[in-house]
Amino acid sequence: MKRSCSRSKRSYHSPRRYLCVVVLIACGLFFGLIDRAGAQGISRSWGLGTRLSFWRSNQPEGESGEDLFLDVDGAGASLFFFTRIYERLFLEGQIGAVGKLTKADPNPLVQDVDLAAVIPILLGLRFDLLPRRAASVFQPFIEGGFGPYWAINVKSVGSDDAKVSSDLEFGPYVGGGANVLLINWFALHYDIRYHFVTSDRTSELGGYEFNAGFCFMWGRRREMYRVEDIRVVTKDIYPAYYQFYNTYPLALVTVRNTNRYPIEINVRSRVQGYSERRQESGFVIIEPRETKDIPVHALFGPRLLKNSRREPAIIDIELIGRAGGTQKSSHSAQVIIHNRNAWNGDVDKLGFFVTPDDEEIMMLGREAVRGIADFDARADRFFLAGQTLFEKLREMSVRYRSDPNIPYYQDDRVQFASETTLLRTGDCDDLVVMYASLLGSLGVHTAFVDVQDPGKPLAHVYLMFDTGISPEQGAVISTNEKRYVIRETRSGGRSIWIPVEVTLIEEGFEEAWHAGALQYLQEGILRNGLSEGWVRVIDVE
Amino acid sequence: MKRWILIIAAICLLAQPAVAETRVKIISIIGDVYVRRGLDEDWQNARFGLLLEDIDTILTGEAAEVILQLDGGDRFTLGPNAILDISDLRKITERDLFLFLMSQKVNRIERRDTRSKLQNERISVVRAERKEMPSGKAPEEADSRSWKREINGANALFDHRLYTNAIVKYHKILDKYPSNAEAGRTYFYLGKSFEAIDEPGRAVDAFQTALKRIEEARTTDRALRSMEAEANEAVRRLKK
Repeated sequence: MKRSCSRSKRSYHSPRRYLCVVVLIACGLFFGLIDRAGAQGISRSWGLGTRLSFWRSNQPEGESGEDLFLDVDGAGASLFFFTRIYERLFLEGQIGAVGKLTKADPNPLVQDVDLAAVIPILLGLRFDLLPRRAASVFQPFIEGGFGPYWAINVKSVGSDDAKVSSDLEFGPYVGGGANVLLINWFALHYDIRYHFVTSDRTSELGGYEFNAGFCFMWGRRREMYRVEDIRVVTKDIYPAYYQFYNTYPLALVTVRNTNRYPIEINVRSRVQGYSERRQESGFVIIEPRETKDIPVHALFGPRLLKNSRREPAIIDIELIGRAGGTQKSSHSAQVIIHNRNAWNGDVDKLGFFVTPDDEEIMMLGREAVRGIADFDARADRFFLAGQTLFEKLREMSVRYRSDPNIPYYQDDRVQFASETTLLRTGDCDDLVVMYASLLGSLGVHTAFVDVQDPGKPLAHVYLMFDTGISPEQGAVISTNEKRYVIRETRSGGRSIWIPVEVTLIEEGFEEAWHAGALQYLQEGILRNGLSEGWVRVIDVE
Repeated sequence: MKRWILIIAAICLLAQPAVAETRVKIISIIGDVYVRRGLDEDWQNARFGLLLEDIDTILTGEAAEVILQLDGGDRFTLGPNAILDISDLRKITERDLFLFLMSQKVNRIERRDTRSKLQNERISVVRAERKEMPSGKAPEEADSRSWKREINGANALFDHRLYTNAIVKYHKILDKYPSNAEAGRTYFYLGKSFEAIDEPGRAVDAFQTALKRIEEARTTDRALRSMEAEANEAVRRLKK
């Protein structure tokens, strides 16, 4: 009678159970396939969850244990936990109960029920099937373990009494399932297990168990990469060099690949309120366990030149790791944006202030040489251009004047050429920038001569320009070779360059040339400034 | 490399005062001897007792000779058809020489062509033509005469055993006249100067370049042939 009852129940529940399994797998696949389920597919080290269980034992029809008949086909619940041991291997444990209540008497007036339950206390190992590089929100696993199974049967005897019998058996289990990460600390969970538990005293306990539930996770995630350091290499941003920063990094991000497979890292960055748009480093491959410095750039435009104040700004840095799945992290660092005229005193950067394509400067340059007959056809036109432009500036009453003293501000201030022609005054760097811009507008190559005499408290800069005349024809310019400098041209030839002390505008070109040549001779050559490195010639590119 | 040079230079400069100016006095004049002061365009006749500064230049004509008295009392004789900057007589230590040679190397590295070959330089108008400069003499001729004077000045330094000064001067001549037909001769004396200051590696390099340039010149000049034999012998000797 009991057996037939039990059979009829089983045949009634089985289609629903299978349907549940199918639905769960379908859900898992759904969440697994969609990439944006809120999680990043990286499981954390610890997890604790609860789940509903459906047990279907292998009790063959018509058989029973010798002492204890137990029909545990039914539902239950369990608590489970897991902790990472190594990479994809986890230790897992479970405690719960499944069982079934059956009415002891078919008479509806009699309320007595029989209870059959099994309480498994299991410990095992779980192995995630997907490699870490294929991190996904859908994380299938296989599992296996061992533990005691405590079987209890409470059978009603009469109206007020019950007979309790129990048995403790040990056995292994194997199974498989999946976690579906909804967010990186919460996942849906399901699995199917097979329990190998047999006993001489009880009916067959072992069989299939279907679990479905959820779990919370915490602890350090097994991350794709680790950001070890962010070093700001360019703390001060000078608007005049905005093009320079497009190729020179503002910061270096030190990233370590913590995995056993290569990953790709892309660094996105922008300076809030100043960048034209977000700059990307492109995906950089980092080999397993390798640490790499990835440069952080910012894309600035002429808009930066409108900055009139010195103020702090934030660089937003976003790292995107890619190895099957993706992992993102955001960081920030502070930089200082200086005003448009600020200069850090590095003559290598002074060329950024030179604006030969400024309309005003081009007009002024062309106006100055308009009176020279057949200017474009003359072989000495660059020398004439230098001479004429200088005299033009003298006529315009452009004069040397030192920079304004701005308290607590260590940077120098450089005027753009159009500002100097408007103000008619400037210090050595303002004047060389203006003269270089004017010469550049007529196609004349220029170079700054940076003098950092160790015996003098202040550095100085003057200019030399390329006449385009070969040394063999030098006598046309001067019979004294000490009045000019012979330099190699970019095309491999040599040409004569004229040093000019631009601060002597008031004295005229001849005097300025004489002073420039004398400085170059005395400081650069006789005092070994060029070979010792404290006199440098920097081409204006 | 350049950074190291700067560091070495800074240390050396802190360790000693700035280089003193060179002053020399003319104590004997034979024939046509001229002096050019500083950056002046014109030459003036040299006269007995004239004090010269390191920015000045002295020039001797054919069959002329001038004797200069240096700061320390030493005498320096400049033979005929020679030109010398007074600064060439300043004391050049081996450290100064090393810095000079290194800076030359650095400058050669820096002068790379960074532009695309497709870009033409300084062409602003299509009709512009490069005109030759007016000159009294053909460039080659003027070049050769000027080179001769310079090499005679450098050789005078070598003869007075101012080897470091001579090396710097020879290098300047080679820079100034890179395609001179007699560059082999300059390299030969450069090699001898390096050998004299016990720099066998550089001496071998210079002698080997001298041999190459003499061979390229395909000259029958006896003096050059003699130099070739001497350079070969020096290379063998120094390589041992």
